[in-house]
This record gives sequence, structure tokens and C-alpha cells, in this order.
Amino acid sequence: MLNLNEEKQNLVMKWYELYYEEIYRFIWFMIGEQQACEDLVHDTFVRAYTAMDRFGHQSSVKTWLFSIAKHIVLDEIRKKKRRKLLSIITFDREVPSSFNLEKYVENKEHVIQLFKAIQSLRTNYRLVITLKKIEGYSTKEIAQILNCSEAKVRKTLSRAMQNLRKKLEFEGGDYYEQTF
Amino acid sequence: MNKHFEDQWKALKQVKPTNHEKEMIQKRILKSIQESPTSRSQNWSFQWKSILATCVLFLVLGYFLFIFYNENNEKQMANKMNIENVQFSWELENVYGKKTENGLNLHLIDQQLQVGKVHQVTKAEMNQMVNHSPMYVRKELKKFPYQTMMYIEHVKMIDVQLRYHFFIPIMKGQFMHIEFDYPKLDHSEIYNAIATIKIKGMDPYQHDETLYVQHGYSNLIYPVGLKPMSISTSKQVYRWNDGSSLDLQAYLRIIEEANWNKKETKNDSYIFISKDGNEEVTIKMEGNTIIYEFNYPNREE
Repeated sequence: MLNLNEEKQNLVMKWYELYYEEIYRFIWFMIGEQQACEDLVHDTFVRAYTAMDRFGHQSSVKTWLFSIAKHIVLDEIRKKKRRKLLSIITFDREVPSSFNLEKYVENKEHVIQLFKAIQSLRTNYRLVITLKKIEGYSTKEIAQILNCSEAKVRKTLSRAMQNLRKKLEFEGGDYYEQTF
Repeated sequence: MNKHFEDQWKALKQVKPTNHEKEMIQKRILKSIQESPTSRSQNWSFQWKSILATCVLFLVLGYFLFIFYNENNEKQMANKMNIENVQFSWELENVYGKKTENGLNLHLIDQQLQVGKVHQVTKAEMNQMVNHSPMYVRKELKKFPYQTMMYIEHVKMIDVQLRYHFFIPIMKGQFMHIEFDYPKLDHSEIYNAIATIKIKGMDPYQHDETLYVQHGYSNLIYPVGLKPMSISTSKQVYRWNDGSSLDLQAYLRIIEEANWNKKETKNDSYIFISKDGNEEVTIKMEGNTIIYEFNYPNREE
């Protein structure tokens, strides 16, 4: 007979099997660094294990895992900002060199450009765009993950898309003006 | 073109870790979970520790609440106090009573300093006290809430110059004896207490006009109801909440009637000189603040 911890452990590993791809992708789009991404995916599921008793099932497991990942990602971004302030070395936007998108997407110049544009957005814009356009969450689900109103999600998403469009226009000229 | 753009979003959705990465992360998660301190027994002990910590917290909070409640009670006692079977109150907010064998000791709320006492005495005890202490002033306080005899004792102590004694008959042959030490309490505060005292079961006399008193041995008359703000030998500042300009004019007339001569009026300042010419006082009212400035023309420096 399994003890309580083993049951919890099995459950987390089951969640990992089911959702690791989405969580990984979400964190990757938010952070952009492979090593940091792996660490944060690990942290998300470990925290899910330790916080399982407090999970009230008001949302789906997947949404709950995303909200954990969101907290972890935002913490990491804050830490990175502090580190950046301390080092005062680079003024480049954070599009990490270690990120090899071509490994996953073959010969897609424009896709890489889109990815870079997303990466250069401010955090809350990046959050809603990743959740909506990449993960395909509904506004209601995004509101649950971000713990805010649906109206706020819609507003943020609209502004994020406008911002993204401007960045792509700047980078890619007429092509994006027509396609976006 | 839009389709092309949708394709780009779709392409981005393809991003996923390789199987190797997936397995590596999975192993790390499993290892971390197994090494995490949330085993059942540890969890149990953690819960006990939490309960214990909560209990300690409650005890500490309870202790502080107890102290707070006690202090508050003492502060409330400033308004309602008992000696034997007599309950009384007065409007002296900064003083509370501590019960003793004979009655109450009066203390300042913030400093714990004893500023007086209240107890019940017989007529014989009152006479004994009055006749065997150096009482320099003996006066019946008229128009105060109760028939009150006041004595001012000259006390040669470092922290007490004068001791006010008030005797109020409360039943046949029995008196409430109230003592206040000056300058631990200002004259104005002492008179405020006696002017606002209410004894349960005894209807107080309600005087609708301002009461006037002399502070200690001073010849100058002061209205009752002043609150001291700053007191020095040459300048005294009081808040006179009930004092209107009409009250001030009435007060100035009372001073003149009490053998002080009006010397002059400068702007809003009124200068009076004592009958013997040795003391000069300038009285000025600014809003609810009344200011006294003293000058002694014939005094050698």
C-alpha cells in the first residue's frame, strides 16, 4: 500500500507527463534561456508537490500548474533585473544566445523574428501573448492564471499585440504590416 | 498572408523539450521530491511545531492584551473610582486611582507618579488633620458641585510645594478627603477635578456660569476650566476651551473687582497691576489660548 507521500509523488509525475511540454514552452517563451528554463520547470513541479495540500481545485490542474509557473517565472525575471542592475554590463535586449530556436523550427527566419519580438516585450505583455497565442488559453483561463479580471486580460492582450505589431513593423517593414 | 502569420504562431507552438531534456528534468524532479523534507512524520512534527508556535504567539498576545486591558481599566478608573461604598468620577483624564487599604492613591497615567490620594475620614480625623498640619489657606468653595472645604498645606518637599486638601461631607460624620500635590498637578487641573466631581447617589449643584479661583497663594483670580499648556514663573499658557470673548470680558471685570487695577489695553492684551503695585500681569487671549505674563516692577534683580 502506498503511503501519502508516494501517492503525491506519483500524482506529480503524472502531471509532469501530461503537461511538461506546455509548461516548458511557457517558461521558455518567458525566460528564453534553456538552462534557466529547465531549472524553472523543475521548480514548478517540485513546488506543485509541496503545495499540493493547498490546491483547492477551484481551477483545473493545468491552470494551477501554470499559475505556479507564472509565479516562479516572475520571481526569476525580478532576480534577473536585480542582477542586471548590479552588473550594469549590457544594454542589449534579453534574447539569449543560448536559445537555439532553429533546433525546433526548421529554417523559419520570420518565426525567429517573431520569437525575438515576443522576447523583447515587457513581462505582462509577454505573459498574455504566450498564454493566448502559444498555449491557446481562453481569456477566462488566463484571468485565472494571472489572478486578474477578464477585462484586464483583454485590455493587456490588445496592447501587447499592438506593441508586438510595432516591433515587427520596425524589424520587418511592410511584410508584417500586411500580415499581422 | 494572414495564413502565413498563423503558420508562424503554429510553428512556435511546436517548441518542446527533447526527450533527453524531458527525462533529465523528470529525474531531477523525482530526486528533489524524494529528498524534500515533507515526509509524513516530518510533516506531523512540523504541524506540531506550528501549533506550538501559534500557542506561544497567543500567549504572548494574551499577555500584552492583559496588560493593555489592565492599563485601560486603570485609565477608565480615572473617570470612575470607588472608596469604600462611595463611587465617584471627575473630568481629570490623566489621573487614575490605585486601590489601597484606606482608599485610593492617585497616579499620573503615563508616569505612574503619585499625585494625591482619596479616602474617607470621620469629622474627628478631618479636624486632627486640619489642626496639626501647616494649613495656610482655608476656604469654602462656593458654587462647586458639593459643599467643599479646601485647605492648602505648605509642604517642604523637593517635589511637592503645596498640598491641596478637599473635604466633602458624604454622610453623617463622614467626609471624602481628596488630596492633590502641586506642582505634580497644576492648580488648574486640581480645581478642574473638584469642579467636575460627581458622587453617585448625591446630586451635584450645577453652576451655569464660570467659577473663579485663586491658584495657590496667588492674588490673581483664574477661571476654572483651564488646561495647562506651558507653565513657568514668568509666563503661563492655558487652553480655555469654554472661554469666549464675552467670558474673557466678564473675567477681566472680576479681576478688577478683586482689587487689581487695569493699567492699559494694548491691542488684545490687558495689563493689570496689583493693588500694592508689586505685580503686573498681561493677559492675552488667542483663540482658545489664554496667556499670562508676569512682571514685578519693584523687585530688585
